[in-house]
Amino acid sequence: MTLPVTGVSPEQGDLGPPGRQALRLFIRNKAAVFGLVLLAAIVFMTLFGSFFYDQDPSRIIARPLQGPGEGDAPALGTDYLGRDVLAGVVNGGSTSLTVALVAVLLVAVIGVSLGAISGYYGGWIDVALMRVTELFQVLPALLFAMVIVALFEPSTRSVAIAIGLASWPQTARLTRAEFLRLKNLEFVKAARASGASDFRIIWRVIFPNALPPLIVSITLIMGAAILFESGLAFLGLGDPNSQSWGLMIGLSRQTFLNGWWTVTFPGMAIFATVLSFSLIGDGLQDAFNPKLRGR
Amino acid sequence: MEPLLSVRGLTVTFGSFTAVEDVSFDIHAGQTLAVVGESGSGKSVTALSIMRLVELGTRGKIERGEILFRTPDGDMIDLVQQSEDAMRAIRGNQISMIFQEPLTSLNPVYSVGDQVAEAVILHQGLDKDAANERVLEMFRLVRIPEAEKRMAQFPHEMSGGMRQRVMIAMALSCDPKVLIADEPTTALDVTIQAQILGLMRDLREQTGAAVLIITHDMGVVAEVADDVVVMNRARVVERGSATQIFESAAEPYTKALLASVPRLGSMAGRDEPAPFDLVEYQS
Amino acid sequence: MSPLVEVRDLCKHFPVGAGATVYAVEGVSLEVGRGETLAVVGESGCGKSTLAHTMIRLHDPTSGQVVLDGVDISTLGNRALREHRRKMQIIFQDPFASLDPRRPVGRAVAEPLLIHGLATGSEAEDLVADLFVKVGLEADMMRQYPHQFSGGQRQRVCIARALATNPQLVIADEAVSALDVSIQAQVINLMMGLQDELGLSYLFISHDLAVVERMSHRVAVMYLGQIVEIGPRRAIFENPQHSYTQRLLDAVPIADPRARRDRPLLTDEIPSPVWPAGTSPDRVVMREVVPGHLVAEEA
Repeated sequence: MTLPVTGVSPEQGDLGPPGRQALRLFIRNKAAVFGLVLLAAIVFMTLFGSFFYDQDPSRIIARPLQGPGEGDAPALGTDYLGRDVLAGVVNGGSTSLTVALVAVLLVAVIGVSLGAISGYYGGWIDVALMRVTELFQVLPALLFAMVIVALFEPSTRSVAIAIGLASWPQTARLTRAEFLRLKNLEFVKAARASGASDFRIIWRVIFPNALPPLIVSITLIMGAAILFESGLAFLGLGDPNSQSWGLMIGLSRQTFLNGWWTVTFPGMAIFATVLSFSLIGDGLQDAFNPKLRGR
Repeated sequence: MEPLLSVRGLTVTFGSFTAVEDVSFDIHAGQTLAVVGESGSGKSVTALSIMRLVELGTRGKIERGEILFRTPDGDMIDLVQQSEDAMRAIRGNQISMIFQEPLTSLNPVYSVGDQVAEAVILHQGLDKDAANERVLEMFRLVRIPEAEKRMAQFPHEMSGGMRQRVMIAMALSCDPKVLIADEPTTALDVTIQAQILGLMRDLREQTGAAVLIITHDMGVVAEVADDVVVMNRARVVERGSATQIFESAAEPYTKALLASVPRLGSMAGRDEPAPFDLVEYQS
Repeated sequence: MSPLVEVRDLCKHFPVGAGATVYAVEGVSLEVGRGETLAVVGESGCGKSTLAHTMIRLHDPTSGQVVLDGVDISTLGNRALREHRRKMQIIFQDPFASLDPRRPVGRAVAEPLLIHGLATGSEAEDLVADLFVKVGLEADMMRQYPHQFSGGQRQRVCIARALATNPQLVIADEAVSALDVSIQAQVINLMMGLQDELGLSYLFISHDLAVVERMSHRVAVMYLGQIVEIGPRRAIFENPQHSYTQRLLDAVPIADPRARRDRPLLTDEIPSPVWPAGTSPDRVVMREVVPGHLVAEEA
C-alpha cells in the first residue's frame, strides 16, 4: 500500500460539543466525582434528612452535655441545653446552603453583568465600573458584611445579601478579564460583521466562551460563602430563628471543653460541604483546561 | 453601468496616524475587485471602513469621503452617514465579509450549522426549520461533503478548509450584493487555497454578487480579479484591469512589487538558482 | 567529497494519548551537500518542521541517524552536542518572537559567540559589527532594540545571529514566509549571496513552491511524514513524477491573469498524520527515475 494522496480528511474525530468533552474529563477525575457525591449526600441529608431522623433540633430532649453513647443521649450527644446534636447537624445545612446559594446568585448577577459591560465597552465605562469594584474589594469583607447584617435584622435574607455584596468584585474582575481577551477574537469581529447587536454579542457570542472559568470561580465562591455564613453565625450575626451549623458552633463555644461533640460534628459538616465544592471546582478547572483535552 | 459600491475620497485616521488617504474605487455587480498591498498599506482598514467596523472598539475614524452603496431598491445611500442600527441591518445581509483566520472566525461553543442559521434568522426572519433548510442548501452550495452531518459539528472538529467553506456559506446565506473577503486564503495550505479560490470564482458566477478581495498575494490576484487597486502607504498607487496591472504596470511601486513576486515556472530551463531581479523603488 | 549532512532513516513519533501516535517524521533519508540548498516542501502537518527540529536535536529522534560532517549527532550527549551545534544554526519564521524585546539586538547576535567561547568583549563587538554589515544592516544598529526594526530588518538580525558561529549548515524554517513580498525577495537575495560568499549549505523548509524554485538546488517533497519525491530542482518542477507533487504544483496560483486555469472543484483534504493504537503508516518504496531523482511508488 502507498500513502493515500487524496481523501476526505478524517478530522480530529468526533469530539462533540466542548461541554461534553469537559464532562468526560470531569467524570474521569476521581477527586471531583467524590466531591460531587459528597455534595449530593449533604444536599440529600438537608432536604430529606428529617424524614429519616425526625427530631426537632430546638427541643430539649435529654440531659445537657452528654457525649455520644452516654446515658440516654442520642447518637451524637446533646448540647448545653440538652438538644440533639444529630438533629442540629441534619437540619442545620438548609440555612447554610440557602444563604450560600442566594449569595452566589447575587455574586453572579452583579459580578458578571458589571464585568461584561466593563470589559466589552472599555473606555470611561470601564474606568468608572472598575473604580466601584475596587472600592468594594478593598473593604474588609467580614466587617462589611457585619455592618450590613447589623443595619438590617439578622435574617437568612440579609445574611445572604451581605455575603453577596462582599464577594462579587472577584467575579467582576474575572469576567472583565475574559471579555477583554475574547472581544478582540476573530469570531466576535465576524459576528459584528454579520450584523449582530452589542447585546447579542455580549450574551450570545462572548459570554458562553467566558463560562468555564466563571463556573469554576462560582463553585469556589460557593464554598467560601458557606464558610462566610458560618463565621457570621458564629459571631452571633446569623438568623437567630433558624438552625445552622455556624450558629451551633457559636453557641457551644463556651462549653466546648466540656463537650467536644457539640462543635466537632457541625464543624465536620461545614468542612465536608466546603471540601466538596473545592473538589468540584478543581475538577471543573481541569475539565475546562484545553491542554488536557483529547486525553 | 452604475456601480454597486463606490468608494470616493475615503480617508481614515487612527489618532494622528492616517491609515487610508483619499482612496476611491468602484465595484460593479458580478465583478471581482482586488485591493492589493503589503502590510500597513491600509487595505484591511479600507475593507473594515465599508462595513463601518473601523470605528468600533478602536480609535479609528472615517475623516472624509463617501461610500455609496446601491440598495436592492435601487437607491444610492452613503454608508458613512448611516446610523449604527441601519448598518446592522446591512451587515451580513446586503454586504457580508469573510476573514483570514478560519480557525478563529467561528464561535467555538456553537455547532457550525447553528451559527449559519443564526445569521439567517437574524436577517431573513425565518423560523428555525426554514433556517436549517437554508443552511443545508448553503452547505451544499459551498460543496461541504456530507452537509447534513457536518451541520451538527463544532468548529474544532473541522479542518481549516472546511471552516472557511462554512464562513463562505454564512457570508452568502442572506444573498448579499457585496462580499468582502479579507485575505480569505492566506492561512490555508496551497491545495486548499486552490479549492477555495475556485469555489469563490464559481459562486460569483452563480450568485452575481460583487466580490472585494483584500490580499497581499499577487498570485491570488491573478487567479480571481477582474480589476485591481494597488495600495501603498494608505494611498491608491495604481488601478486597472488585472491584465493591465500584470503586463503593463505604469507606476514604479507596482513594478517593484511585481518584480519581487516569486513566479512558479520563472526558472524553467535554468540549472542553478538565481536571485530576484529587483527593481529599485524609492518612496 | 562526502555530503555535509546525511540523514538516515530518521523517525520522530509523538504519542497523543489513547495509544494514538503522530508519525510526524517516518523513515526520512536525505543528504545536504556542501554549498547546496535542499528545500523541503509540503503542506501543514506534513512533518517538514519536525524534520528540521529533529535534525538539530530540538527534539530527540525516535530512531535513525543524523550525520553531520562525519559525526553521528543523533545520540551525542549534551556536552558533546554543544560542540557540534555551532556548525548548524536555525532561523525561524517569526523574527518578532525570536528576539528578546528588552535587549539590544547586538547582544542577541553576540550571544552565540560568547556561549561557544569564540570571542570575548570588544572582539565580539567587532565581529557583530562585521556580521551586521554582512547582512545589509549598519554596524551601529546593534545598539538598537528589536521594536526599532522592521520585520525584514529583524529577520536580517536573526540571520546575523545564525551566522555568528560560522556554521556550515543553516536551517531556514519558513524563514521568509511572514515577510512582505518585496522584503521577502530582498532577504532571499541576501541568503543566496551569503551562500556564495561563505559556502553555506541551506536546508530550506517552505510551503511556497515559487520561492523554492528560485533558490534551491534540490527539492524534497514531504507528505504525511515521509518523502514522496526528491531530486534536482529542475526534475521536480519540470518533470514531477508523484501525483502529490503534481497536485501541489497545480495548486500554486500563477501571477499571470492570462494563465488562469479552470480548476476542478475538489473538496478532498489531507489525511491526518495521527494513527490510532495498533496501526501505523506503511513505508513508501522509492524508485529511481533517473540517478538522483527518486519517487515513491504509487498503487
